[in-house]
Formats: sequence, structure tokens, C-alpha cells
Amino acid sequence: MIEIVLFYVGAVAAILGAAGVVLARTPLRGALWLIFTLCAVAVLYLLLEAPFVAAMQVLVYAGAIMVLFVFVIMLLNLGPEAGARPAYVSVAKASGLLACVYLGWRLVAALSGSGQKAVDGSVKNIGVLLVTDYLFAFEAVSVLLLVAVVGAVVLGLRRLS
Amino acid sequence: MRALVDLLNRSFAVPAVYQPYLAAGVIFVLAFVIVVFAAVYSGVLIFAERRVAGRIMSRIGPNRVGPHGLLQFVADAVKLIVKEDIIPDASDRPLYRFAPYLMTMGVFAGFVVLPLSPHVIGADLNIGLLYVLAITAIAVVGVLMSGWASNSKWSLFGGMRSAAQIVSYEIPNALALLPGVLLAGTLSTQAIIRAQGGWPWEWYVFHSPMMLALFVIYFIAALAEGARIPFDLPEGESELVAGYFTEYTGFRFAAYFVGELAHTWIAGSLAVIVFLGGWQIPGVSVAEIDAAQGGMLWLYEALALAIFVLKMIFVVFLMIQLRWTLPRVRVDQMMVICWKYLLPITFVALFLILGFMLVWPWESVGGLLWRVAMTAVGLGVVVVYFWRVRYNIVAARDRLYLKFWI
Repeated sequence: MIEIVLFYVGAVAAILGAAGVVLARTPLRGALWLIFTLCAVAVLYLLLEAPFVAAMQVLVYAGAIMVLFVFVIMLLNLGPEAGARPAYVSVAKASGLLACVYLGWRLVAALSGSGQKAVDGSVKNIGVLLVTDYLFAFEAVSVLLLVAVVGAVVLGLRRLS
Repeated sequence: MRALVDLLNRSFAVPAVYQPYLAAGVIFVLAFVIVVFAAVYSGVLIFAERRVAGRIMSRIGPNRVGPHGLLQFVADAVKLIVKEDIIPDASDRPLYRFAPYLMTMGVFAGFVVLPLSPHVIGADLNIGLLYVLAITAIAVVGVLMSGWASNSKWSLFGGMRSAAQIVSYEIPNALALLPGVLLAGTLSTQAIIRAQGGWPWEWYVFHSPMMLALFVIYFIAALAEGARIPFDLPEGESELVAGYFTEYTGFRFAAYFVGELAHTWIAGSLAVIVFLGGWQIPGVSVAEIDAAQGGMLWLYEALALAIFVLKMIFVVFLMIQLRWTLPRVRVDQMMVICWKYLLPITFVALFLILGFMLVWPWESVGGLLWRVAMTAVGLGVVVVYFWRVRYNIVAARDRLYLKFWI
């Protein structure tokens, strides 16, 4: 009962937040709506008994990555969009909506009736899975991140010299 | 929370239909208690802070309202609540109004997993430590939001400095807490305390030399995260008026202050939980506390509570003392301290601790010898600290007047 109520609260909040991201006129408000959406999705993760994923969602996305987004928007001092919008915007909107509806339909079709019980989402379980079944993906991701860090350092050094 | 629901279920026969309402009611009551606790703690802390500041600066400090000025914070709160709530014309109204509450929300929510004694805790989550780090990160969004929404240069600069500082120092902060998690094998705050012991050589801080270093690093990073002097750049009065809350007045201004002061409780209790043995009573094992019934249970609870709060007061007092001792660092120095010193040291210490755990396990003779030796070092540091404080008081030609509350 309480889970169902929380699910609807989280789900509606996530959808409203996503709508806010699209409809916001200032980039900063859009970014803040995105943070709201991410937190709402974290609530859904909690209801799926994946507290670790939920905490990571808030810590990494809402707390760090989105803060950097907001930081950059503030640094560039972006104001609200001004002037008439070009004609292709409405076409882009329509195709985006179509793609969204199609994706939603495929997702529902793929997930409904599968009834698969999720594995225990505890920290220990995730840790064990990361270094056994998903070791290759885990290491590949860490190499990818290392490349990104090296790239950032190289770019920063070039700017200095 | 679950313990409270169980207790109510045992005392009153609650029909199954009402169970969700019971749980929801308990959650609301606990949330209310936490908010009130955090607010009152901030009030008491600001009183302590001003009196200690007075002693350090050889003056008296507030002592007019109530006995020894103890009610000064109530007067301040009343003043701030009845003040006019000014919202600048050019500000982004909804964001401007909401930002202070987002910041305090992030801080207050962290209190949920911080225990006071074996049973006094909001909710003992199995990801407790991670939860605190994640939820306090939300406060940054509030700070950035207020910096932007105020539409003032000082606020914007303050907000951006604050974001840069908190995002940077979050990394050494979290990494310094990691060895405690490794040693206890869990993220739950209660379980980390239970894995330690009552005597100093059973605390994680004295596990190895690296742990001692990490404790210092954690303390520095926690100061920076709470934007306390010497890291109060986001509100540097000399250049930014008041930083991100320059434009705020009245209750919203007070909300920022309560949030910042309440953050010292989170920083202090994390230090006590992970490094200083939490509520563990010297000479009483966890099994004895768990087995205690009736009067003994209450006695143990009260003792544990007193021990936890005493350790907290010591850590927070250090923060206050540093505030009135050190000058503020510059922005570039703040960044250099974090990225060039704290972070590399933390990584090296982390890897050394992993090796240490293999060579000298916690229970082995070697491990015990290391812990006793490190305890001696720690005691030495504490003795030197008190000796220096005394020396400074005498050198200032002040009478050694330890009744600082008068």
C-alpha cells in the first residue's frame, strides 16, 4: 500500500520533472528540473530494493554531474532563449515525440509479463557481481574513464602553455 | 524507525488495515523530531561559538539574555523571523524563495542515519554512510540556486565558489571515510560503531599511522565542506559581502545559518562514528549491551548517549577553536590543498592501509601492538594540544581562567 503510493508519487514527479526540462525557457531552470527528475527516479530505485543504485544516482548525478552542468550554465551566463524560433524546431519536436512514444511502447512490450525477480541490490552483491560476472565491462569502463581523465589533463595543459 | 513501529505494535493492538498509517505517522513524527533537534542544536552551537570566540579574543561575548546569555539564540531567532522578507525585483522569484529550504533539507536529511546510542537512530540503513554523503550533496544545489536566483554578482561568485569547493572536497572526504567501511565490512553507521570498541585502542583512528593521517584529512575536508573558517570562501565578507546569501533577509537568511551550523553535527558525528568508536562504552562489550534488560538497558543507553555527545562536543569544539585561530585561505590555495595534497595523500594512505590489513590483521598481536602504539601517539598529541592552549592563555598575560562560561 505505502509502496504503491510512493511509486505513484515518484513516477508522477519524474514525469513532471522531465516535462519541466523540456518546457523550461531558461537553461538553468531546465538543469534544475533535471536534478528533480533524477531524485524522483532515485525514489523509484529505492522501491525496487536497490538502495545502492539510488544513493549513487543522487550522489553522482544530482550531486556532482548536474552541479557541474549548473556551474557551466552560470559561468556562460545563459539567459532565456530570445527571438523567433527557426521553422525546423516544430519538426524536431514532432519527431522527438514520435520516437518517445515508440520507445515507450517497445519498453512496455519488452518488460510486461517477464516477471523476473531482481537480484538482491545490496552493496555486497553488486560488488561481487562487478568483480565476477561483469569483470570485463567493469575494467573496460575504468579504462574509458582513465582515457577521459588523461584527455582532460592534456587539454588543460595545452591551455596553460 | 522499524524499532519504534514494533514497539507501538507490541504496546497497542493496531489492526492490519492501519499499519501503513502507523508507519507514515512514525516517519512524520521522526522527521519532525530531527528538524527540531537540528534547529535547537544550531542555536546552542551559535551560543557556544560566540562565547568561545569571546574568550579567545579576550572579551566576554553575549551574556545578557537569559542565564549567561544562554537564550541569546532564541532572541536572535525571533528577530530574524519578524524581519521583513525582502525579495529583490530582478531575482528569479520561485527559485530565490525555494533555495534556502533546499539547502537545509539536504543537511537535515543527513541526520536520519546518524546514531546517538545503540537504539537512538532515525533509521539504520544498510547504505548509511553513502546515504549521508549523497543527501548532503543536495545542499550544493540549493547554494548554487540561491547564487543564481539572487541576480547579484556577489551571490553568483559565492555560489560558484561554494560549488567548486564542495564538489572538490567531497572526494577526499568520502575517500577518508572508506577505510572505516573496509575494516567494518559494511556501510551501516551502527554496524561500523559495533565493529569498534570502547577503549581508544579499539577505535579505527588508531588502527595504523595512515588512519591517523586520514582522520586529519577527513577533518580538513569536513571543514571545507561545511564552509567553515579557514575555508569560508563562499561567504568571504572582505570581498563578497556575504557570498551566496548576500540578498537574503529574515527567515530565509536564518535557514542558511541553521543549515550551516547543523552541518557541523553531521561532520562531527561522521568523525566520531567512523574514527572515534561512536557510542561504545569502555569495558562494556556490544553483546552485554544487547543482552541488557530493563534498568541496565536504560543505564547503558544513557551512558552511550553521554559518551557519543562528549566526543561530538570535543570535535565540534576543535572546529570552533580553529575558526577563531586561523586566517582564511585564498581560492587558489583552497584548490591546491585539495587536489595536490589531500587527494594524493588519501590515495596513498588507502593503498597502504589495504596492505596493512593483510600483514597485521585487526585481532593479531602485531595489529594490537600497532593500535596501542598509535593510541600513545594520539594521547601525546592531545597532551601537547592542551599544553599549547594553556601556554597561549598564559602568554597572553591573561589569568588562567577556565570558567569560560562566566
